Amino acid sequence: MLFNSLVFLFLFLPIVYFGFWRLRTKKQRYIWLTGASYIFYGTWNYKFCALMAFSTAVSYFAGLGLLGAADPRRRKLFLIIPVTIDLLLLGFFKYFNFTVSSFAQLSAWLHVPVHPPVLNIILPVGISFYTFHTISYMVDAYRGVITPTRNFWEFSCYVSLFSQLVAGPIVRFRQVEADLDNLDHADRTRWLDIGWSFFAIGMMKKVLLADTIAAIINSAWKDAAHLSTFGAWLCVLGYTYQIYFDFSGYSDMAVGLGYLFGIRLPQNFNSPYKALNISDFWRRWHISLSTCLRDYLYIPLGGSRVSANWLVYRNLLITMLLGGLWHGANWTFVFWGGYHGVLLCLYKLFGKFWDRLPVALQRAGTFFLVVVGWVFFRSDSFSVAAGMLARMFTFSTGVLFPGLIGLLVALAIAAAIAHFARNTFEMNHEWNSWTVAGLCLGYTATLLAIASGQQSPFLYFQF
Amino acid sequence: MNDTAANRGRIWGIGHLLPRLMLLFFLLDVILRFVPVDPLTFRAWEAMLRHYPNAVGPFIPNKHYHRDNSYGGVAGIGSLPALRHYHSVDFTTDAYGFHNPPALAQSNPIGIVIGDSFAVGSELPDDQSLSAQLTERFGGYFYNAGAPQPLHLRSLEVVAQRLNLHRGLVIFEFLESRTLQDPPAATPDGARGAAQAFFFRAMGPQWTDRLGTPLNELHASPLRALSAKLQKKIQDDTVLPNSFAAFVIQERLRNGEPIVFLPAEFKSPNHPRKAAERWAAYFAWYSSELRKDGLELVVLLVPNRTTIYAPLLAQPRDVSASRAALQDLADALQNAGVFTVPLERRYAHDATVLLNQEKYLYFLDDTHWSGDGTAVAADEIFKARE
Repeated sequence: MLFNSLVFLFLFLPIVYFGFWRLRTKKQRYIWLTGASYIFYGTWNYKFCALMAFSTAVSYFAGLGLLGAADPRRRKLFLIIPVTIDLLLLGFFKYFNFTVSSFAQLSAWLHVPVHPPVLNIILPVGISFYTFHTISYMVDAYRGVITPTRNFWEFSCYVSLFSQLVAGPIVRFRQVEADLDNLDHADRTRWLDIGWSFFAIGMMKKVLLADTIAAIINSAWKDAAHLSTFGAWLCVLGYTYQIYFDFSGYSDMAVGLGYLFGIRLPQNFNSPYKALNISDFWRRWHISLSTCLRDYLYIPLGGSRVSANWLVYRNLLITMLLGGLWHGANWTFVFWGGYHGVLLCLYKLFGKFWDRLPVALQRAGTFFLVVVGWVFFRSDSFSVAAGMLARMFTFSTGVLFPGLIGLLVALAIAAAIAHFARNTFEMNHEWNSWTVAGLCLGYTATLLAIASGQQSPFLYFQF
Repeated sequence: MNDTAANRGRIWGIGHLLPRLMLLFFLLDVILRFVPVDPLTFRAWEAMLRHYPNAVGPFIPNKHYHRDNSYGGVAGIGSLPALRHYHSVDFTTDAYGFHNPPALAQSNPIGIVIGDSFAVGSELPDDQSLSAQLTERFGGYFYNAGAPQPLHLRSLEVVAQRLNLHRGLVIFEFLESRTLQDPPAATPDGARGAAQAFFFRAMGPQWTDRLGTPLNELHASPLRALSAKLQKKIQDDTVLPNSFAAFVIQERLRNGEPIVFLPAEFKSPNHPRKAAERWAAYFAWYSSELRKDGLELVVLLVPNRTTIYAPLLAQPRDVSASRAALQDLADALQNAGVFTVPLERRYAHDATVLLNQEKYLYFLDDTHWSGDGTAVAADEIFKARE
């Protein structure tokens, strides 16, 4: 079930919303939201509900174990065992076939061909997200950052909450703990306006901008070898804005839905294309993931407080390579992560010089580097990426793809919003009558677009 | 004063307006479903088809549909206005909901035509359907009982009883692509069908229609159709690329005319011999059951459009497998004692000859046969019966 589907908007959401506010006690509301979230998740593949329930139960009992254990060795066991189980599940479903096929390729390259079995594994939607939820919960409990909850329904509500279940933001328990604890005292009308405002803006970003751009560039990517230089740049720029509006649109909708149920979710995007350098970019892009990687990987590795400079670069590279791999089981994602790791290292080395450049140049330079990185992220293989880069950086004549006018208009609007407008967390969401009318008009256009039956899933669902 | 202002602010707040907008959208969708969809359609099928369970006939009874600028469904699916071939369409149904214009109807029919949309005469004027062409050649009335799916034996017997037909022909139009499916079971309707039949008997046709009509109207969403139309308008390959074109295959005939196919039209059964045997067994049973009622079955084997026109493309495609599968089916039917009229050879010959005159046995923008196609089919049946 997609947020941008009629069944979600006209059936699921009204039932869950009115049902939720009819209930009075905390427990009832936890159970209601958990049940609704499992139904929401089950519409993709009901079999994977058991997997999520298992992961939830393991983490919940690990939390209880940590709560009762004082002995450091026991505490360590209560952390290591469930985290290993979670990572094994993630590894199996997401990376088994990738590992096997990579091994087969390597052995063929070494002239010792082996043919290991490839399993027909379906990747459970959102497994990367809820696994990070549970792991962050257990690590925070181990570190004493949070006190694990004794309430199973509160915990399962936190893990499975439908608004952020399948594509984030990756919410840490401490970020929503207070709102979950006060769920029975939540005021329905308090965040009604801001919730709908976030939701509507997110929906418009996704349906009107991201999907429009996608409709034009998707076919062009398939025919990348025949693009002109201009066409290749348009295509890559199109993807740059598509992924931003798609993912930030989803995050805005998730935040908006959270508000509607009295739960404040954290910001996931802070105008990343306004970043002044690559480090700044990672503080603004997919914030919930980058902070998770920082807190649970980079800092435990030693972070920047290490004895030698090369160790900082090593830590950065490991973090970004694994961050790339988190996005998907493909070497292009790993390369994309490595590319950003190298850029972060270079910024560590030459940041002082970079920071002296004019601000506009810093922004443009950072944006350019990010755009080049998206080529690897979008391409299914290195040959496609290399072909696209060759088209971009050598002059070539070729075909222009259909829908050029639409793309230019969409890119102009997208660029204006991404580079110059305030983001949804910077807005005060107190609209005057003109902006309300504009929002209603935009939302109507969105509903009509959805009604035509051409919905597309969110890009980050595949991760 | 402050409270009033605050309330006004709330009423016009986005949190109140957007849910109401959604409610309005929902209500509009429901209300529009009770408005006739005819103006939104470009052919009879969508406007006439009944979506509620009905006793026999698949279309809304006693209804006439006319459109001057109808065009083929494949061009519609692909949203390809340049490839549309506009033509006039009349589609008139009888009291039972079959495509039988009163002007052509006669008492004491000598036969019934059954089959799928080809038998119905989709896209054809009333007087060019197969049943109309047969009526003209045989000099006796052939009742058109075509439906989206060929009638089951029990339903056919009900039609024959209503028509008081105790001796005569049953022409079963059988399209090549149907060999991809398994034949229906001998008692196809099962418990659900029995329950439905009981319901219809208990209710009577009038009440069934009275209850069913609103359900029928609820089935189609004009709002959705309008949104889709709007999408197709915008996706004109200039403003936005036409994503619908991916659903069809665009080709060119060797005389230069463009033709569009659905990918499904190129499919052949994986095991044609087995498929032929299964269908032969089914038709042998069907034929023997009809014989008990004094009716004689004639199976008309209609090739897919691709089997006839793929060899005539500017870059011809091999259709030997399809031809062989049709031949297998014809042989199996004849061996099973079923009277069969295969059309493939005659069609292949005529299509080649007519190509230079820019005449076609099938529509170039639709899967169905044209008036020329039904005329040839009626000729073949007439010759075979002589």
